[in-house]
Amino acid sequence: MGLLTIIRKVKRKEKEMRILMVGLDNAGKTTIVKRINGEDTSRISPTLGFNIKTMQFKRYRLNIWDVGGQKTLRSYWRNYYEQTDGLVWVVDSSDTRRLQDCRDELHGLLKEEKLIGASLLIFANKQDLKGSLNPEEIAKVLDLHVMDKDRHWQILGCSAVTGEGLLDGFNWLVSDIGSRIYMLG
Amino acid sequence: MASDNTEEYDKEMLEKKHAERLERLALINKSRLEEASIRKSQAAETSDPRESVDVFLSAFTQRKESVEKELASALEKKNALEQTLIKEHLDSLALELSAMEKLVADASYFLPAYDVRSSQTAVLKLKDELATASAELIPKKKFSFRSKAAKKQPIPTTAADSTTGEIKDEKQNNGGVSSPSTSPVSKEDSMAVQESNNRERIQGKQNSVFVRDSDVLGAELTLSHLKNCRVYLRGRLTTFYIHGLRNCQIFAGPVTGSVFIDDVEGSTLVLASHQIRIHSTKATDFYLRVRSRPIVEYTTNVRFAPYAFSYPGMQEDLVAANLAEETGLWEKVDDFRWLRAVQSPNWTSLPLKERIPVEDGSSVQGLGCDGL
Repeated sequence: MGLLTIIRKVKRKEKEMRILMVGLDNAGKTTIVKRINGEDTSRISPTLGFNIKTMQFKRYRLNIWDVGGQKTLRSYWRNYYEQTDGLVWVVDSSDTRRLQDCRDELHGLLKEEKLIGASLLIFANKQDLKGSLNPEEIAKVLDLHVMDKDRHWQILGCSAVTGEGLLDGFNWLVSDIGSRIYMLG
Repeated sequence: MASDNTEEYDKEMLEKKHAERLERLALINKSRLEEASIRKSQAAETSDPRESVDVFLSAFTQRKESVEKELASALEKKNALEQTLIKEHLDSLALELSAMEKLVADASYFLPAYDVRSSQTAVLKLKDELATASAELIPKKKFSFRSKAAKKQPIPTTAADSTTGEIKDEKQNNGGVSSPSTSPVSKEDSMAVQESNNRERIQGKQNSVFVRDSDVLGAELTLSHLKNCRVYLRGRLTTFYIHGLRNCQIFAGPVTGSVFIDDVEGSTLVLASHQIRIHSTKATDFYLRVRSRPIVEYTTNVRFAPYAFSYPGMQEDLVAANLAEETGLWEKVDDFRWLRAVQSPNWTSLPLKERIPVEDGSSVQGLGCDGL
């Protein structure tokens, strides 16, 4: 009985996931995090630095690192790569002018050795806007088909304003990480 | 008897053992002392004589005194010597002083804190004295006019930025992702606001006034590559992209999402929005109502003031967009290239006297509103 409780305790402690939210500025990273956490999303300042949010999702504790996307901050992203289980790349689907920029940054990120094992969720955000490209179009522009064969990845449309698609995305991400790390599925 | 014998024998043995042990101890002691003395002499040999505090202090005082003496003598016979000689002399003293400064710095790791401090102050005092002496001995040049070399014009960097931006746009168009139906340069006089990719745009125009009226919800707008234009946007927007503006005046109703501004120069932008990001912008005034802190990045010489636009029904639009209250955030600007406690040199708040009056957009007439 003693040993079993210890094992259980350790297991419970282990059920943490470290999730890194990145993407260009104005993509809606902070708004997504606040929305799934049920907070006010109307007073969000552009992120200077980073926010950490810890929340319970299914049987897991998610530590979400929401890192600012301004050009000035992108060189600091690498400081957050260590031990990342899941990567959420947020795209402003309506900002067609900067999609190439977005593609370059994403592919640069995927070359990082520390992120090789991380599951990748791509949120094609702002689907509530009429001018947005749909997830298939985004996938094409971002050249997602050249992705490494071993990478677990998924692209989903979402809207941080309406909340649409956010749960689906996190469901996929958490179960993918869970099946990889804890073999629980 | 036999027992006596054995007793005596034991005693003898004991004494013998005792003596042996004593002898051994003496030997050990002797070798220990020898080793200690060797170590001592070795230490004396290897230890850096410079690391002795006394040695340092005496040397330092000597040099200090000599500098003081030289200075005093230089001041005494200031009229006897030639200017150039005095100057050379003072220069050598300055060199000596910086050498002493270095000496203190080198010695600081073994010197007691008090000695470090007192040596440093001594050097500083000498430097001061040297400075006053040289001011007295070598008079400054009298003011005279000189022809200035013409300053070279710095190469504008944003021009390069904007061209790369355009190239990127073109690439996108070739890829067939977002293809605005007209190229920015051609068809100057054609329909100005057009829906392309479900997005309204005003792009590639010059010297015109545009007015956009809309009560359509969910409107999105892009302004790009405009020169000498005035744009009045009456009504609400959900998202607003602005890039490549030169010498333009933009007056916009409330934006419920974010405004993204890139590469704007010499313009005035009047905006109300939940979020405002300003990139690579120069010499532009912003009149803002905003629900979060506006940010600037790679931006210089921009000024901020409160929102200054009105049109019939604006108040209702502001209320509906959750922007009716003045938050005061228009002057809480974060400069991402200036992460220090002191005020960023890249932006200021606009002095009251220089602010424009509230722009009345109620009766403005302009181009390019068909199709909406």
